[in-house]
Amino acid sequence: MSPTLTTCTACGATCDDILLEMREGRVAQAKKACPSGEAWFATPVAEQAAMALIDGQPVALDGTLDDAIAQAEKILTQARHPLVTGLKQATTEAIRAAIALADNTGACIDWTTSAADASATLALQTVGAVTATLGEVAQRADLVVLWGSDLATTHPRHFERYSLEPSSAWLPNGRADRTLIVVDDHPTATAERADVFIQISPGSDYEALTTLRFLGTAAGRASSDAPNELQDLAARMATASYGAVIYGARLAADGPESLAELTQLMADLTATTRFVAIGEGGPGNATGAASALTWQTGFPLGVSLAKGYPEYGPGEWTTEALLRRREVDAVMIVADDLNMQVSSEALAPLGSLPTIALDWRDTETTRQATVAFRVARPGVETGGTTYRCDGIVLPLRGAVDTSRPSAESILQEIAERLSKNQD
Amino acid sequence: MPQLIKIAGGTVYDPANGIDGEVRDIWFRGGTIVEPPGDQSAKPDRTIDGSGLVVMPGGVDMHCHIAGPKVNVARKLRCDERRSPEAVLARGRGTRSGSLGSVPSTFATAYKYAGLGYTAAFDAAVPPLGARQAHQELADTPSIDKGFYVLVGNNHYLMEQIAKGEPQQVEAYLAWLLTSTKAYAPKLVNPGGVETWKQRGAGHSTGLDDQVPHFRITPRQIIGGITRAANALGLPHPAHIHCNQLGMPGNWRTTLETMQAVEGQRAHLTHIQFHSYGGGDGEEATLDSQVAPLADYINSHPNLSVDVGQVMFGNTTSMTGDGPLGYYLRNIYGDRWYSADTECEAGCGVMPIEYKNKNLVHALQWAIGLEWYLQVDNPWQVVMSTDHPNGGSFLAYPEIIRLLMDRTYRRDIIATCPAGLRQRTELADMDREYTLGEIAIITRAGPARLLGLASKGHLGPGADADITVYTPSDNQAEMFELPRLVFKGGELLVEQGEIRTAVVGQTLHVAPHYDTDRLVDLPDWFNERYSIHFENFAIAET
Repeated sequence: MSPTLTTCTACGATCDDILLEMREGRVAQAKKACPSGEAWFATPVAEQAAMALIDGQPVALDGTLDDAIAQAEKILTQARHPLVTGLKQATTEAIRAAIALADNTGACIDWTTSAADASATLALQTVGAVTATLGEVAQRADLVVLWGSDLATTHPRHFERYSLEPSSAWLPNGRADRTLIVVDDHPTATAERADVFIQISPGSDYEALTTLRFLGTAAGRASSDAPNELQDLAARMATASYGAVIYGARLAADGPESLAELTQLMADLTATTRFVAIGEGGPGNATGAASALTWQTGFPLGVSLAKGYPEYGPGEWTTEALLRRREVDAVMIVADDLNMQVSSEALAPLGSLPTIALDWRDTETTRQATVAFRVARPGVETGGTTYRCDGIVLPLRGAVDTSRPSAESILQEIAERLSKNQD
Repeated sequence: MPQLIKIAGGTVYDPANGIDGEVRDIWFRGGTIVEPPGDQSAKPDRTIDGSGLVVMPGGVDMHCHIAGPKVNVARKLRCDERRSPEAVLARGRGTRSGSLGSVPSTFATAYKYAGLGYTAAFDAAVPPLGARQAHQELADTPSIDKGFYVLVGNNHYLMEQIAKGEPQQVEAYLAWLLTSTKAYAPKLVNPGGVETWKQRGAGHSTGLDDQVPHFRITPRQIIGGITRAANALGLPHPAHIHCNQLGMPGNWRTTLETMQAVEGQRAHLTHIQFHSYGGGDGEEATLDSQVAPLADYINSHPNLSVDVGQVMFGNTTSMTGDGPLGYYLRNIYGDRWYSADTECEAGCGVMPIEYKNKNLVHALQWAIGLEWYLQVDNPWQVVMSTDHPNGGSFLAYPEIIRLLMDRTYRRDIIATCPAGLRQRTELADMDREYTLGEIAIITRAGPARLLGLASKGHLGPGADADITVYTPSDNQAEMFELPRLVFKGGELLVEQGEIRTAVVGQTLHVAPHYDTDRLVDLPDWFNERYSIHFENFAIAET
């Protein structure tokens, strides 16, 4: 059998050139995948014979999901304040179905599990963004600044595919035609690859970005108070043909301020050159969750549909906040291991709430769920689409047939039953 | 057999079939208009009393921004507009909830178009790499038929082939691109100018004869090359052109040159209002209207058509595939700015914007738009648009209709604008008033014909049963903002503002025939330049 082309969602590089070879229904080899990708494709799927569990007990041994779907429907019908969350490793198709279900049940829906998850969105809403697809970086960026990002460790193929090695008409010698500058608060594997490594003190990202903005002004150029490395960086940025900043999660960790400052720096630089900023991106399809939520409701995260229409509440109707404040009475978790991501304060009430989990993995979240559905694995057992962090939508393809339903088909069936019972 | 339905005794405006306000019956069955039965005694299954009402084909919006990456970023950027209860739509029986503002959510967009009597709408600017997202959004835009135009004016492959003088290669690629992205038409945005901005940054001239760096080609060659290929392929809507130098004082000469550059072939110039400015050298204060010479050219060149891109006073969001324009506007307005470059293909700019009637430049833009409707002699060559949401929301169409049909009202609004307006536009002296028949042309029959939609924009046998029924009023804005009945494919979509069904509309796209042998080298070319795999480019899923 010829290998199947699919996309890896193990990290934010979202490599779409993976060739899957299957043997006896399992991934025998994921060609082109990096070590993280190999581990991702080797992640075992939940092996129990049951397609669903109720209170940890296998049901649906006969292949029908009626009991489990009825139980999920009952939980959602009885709930007054349900939350639909997870979504980060869901396909866009499952996300769309989850939003429809949340609309139908008047739930809150969100995909964030921390304040950092919301930072890029909040920065966009404050100042905008100046960005590009990763192919622009590959083709044009003669200056690449990695800020708080250890791509060599976390995104092993990022350099090869996008940010350092590709050659083009503008950069015929690839790596040799680029300058790589790494800004971080500690030495990293990535820093070893840099032409210049600028070590800043922990917690000083915002200050360094502000300094760079100041150094771009006439007053800044005339002053010599700033650290030499930053003066040098400001000069290099001003003279780049097409510069790119790729930033890591740390820049978003404390809220949107640093990212907003970064955007302002990009906008300042546009007066004389071109510069763009792109996040390094995380695993899965968080970008798709924000995207689909936005087109369906108008809001990218923390959406309450309780009043029958969408309302926006970052920090109010986001997953962590709702769980901590114990404001929900049922939780549906779509394709993510929530237990591994939220704080212990948020996790505490989860144990006593009815929960519905859909996943292809066997996780803490599925094991503790009131109802758990073992769904088909996107990108291996079933198709769908996923968003790369720069917004490009890529296909996930199924390489093997499975009798297991997709997450979206279960979500649609629950929604249909709820609609019927409302009539 | 589906029901045979008759709308009896309405006053019908069906300009494509030469019907201008005649009392007639319209018969339809199973989504299609049918001949009235020859047998006078034949009875329909259902009769709708149309007496005293106005019957038109469903509206067709040929240029708006309703789906795709930049629209969705604009939704994210403008959450500030949707915090009030007036800015949301509650879910209903069979309908989804949503939110409004200048860039409504997908379901809300669909219901609002349907509520306005529009049954088809086309997004005007999707980068090829954004096609998959645009289709996902359109799949969540029910009720109406829809489609999008795919950006080609700064496409690397096309620029290389045009520079090489390979017209057949241009044709094959264009056909492949439209087919792969499931797009309806090719769209040029600031041809060559976006690529120049990517390489050189802000402030570089992109007149028609300025070289695009590296590609050794001019905007004029791009316009000519793509328009020729699109016409040779026999596309239903060959070339949809957003001219170079949008918004710049003195840009009217470039617009006129663009009209000439298509060399007599079919082409459509979009949001022409933004491209009709006199004045010089980036000096906003010198801006004046140059509609007259451009409209003269249109009036003597039936191969050309325009949509207006009417500016309306109020808050809205500017969104464009014209990256350098976005930066230009950012420096004027100073609000949030979003810019995004798409590899090998396109740019993008999004920002909030407010048009004020007390601002002379804004008032002039408003007046220039209206001048266009009034100075094009043949209404089949001019189409109503606000370039939603750039000039204003599509929800402003009823208001524009009133401005066109009622010159007293038009002059009342002119009176609220700065006095300096009179020296820069002749709008106040224009007496022309549109008739209902002419409104039917510029809002449905005309755009349907320009898009090559044979079964839309008219009510003859075989047409889609997309029908809007209005209650006449002396206030035309009131008449058009709340249709009595709206049918889509024979289904009653909306009755006096109440949604009756939200049937799934179709996404329309073209699949022109082309010589696949010509593109054998394309996968290698693509894989060397794009950051995604060639096999992941074409839209397979629906």
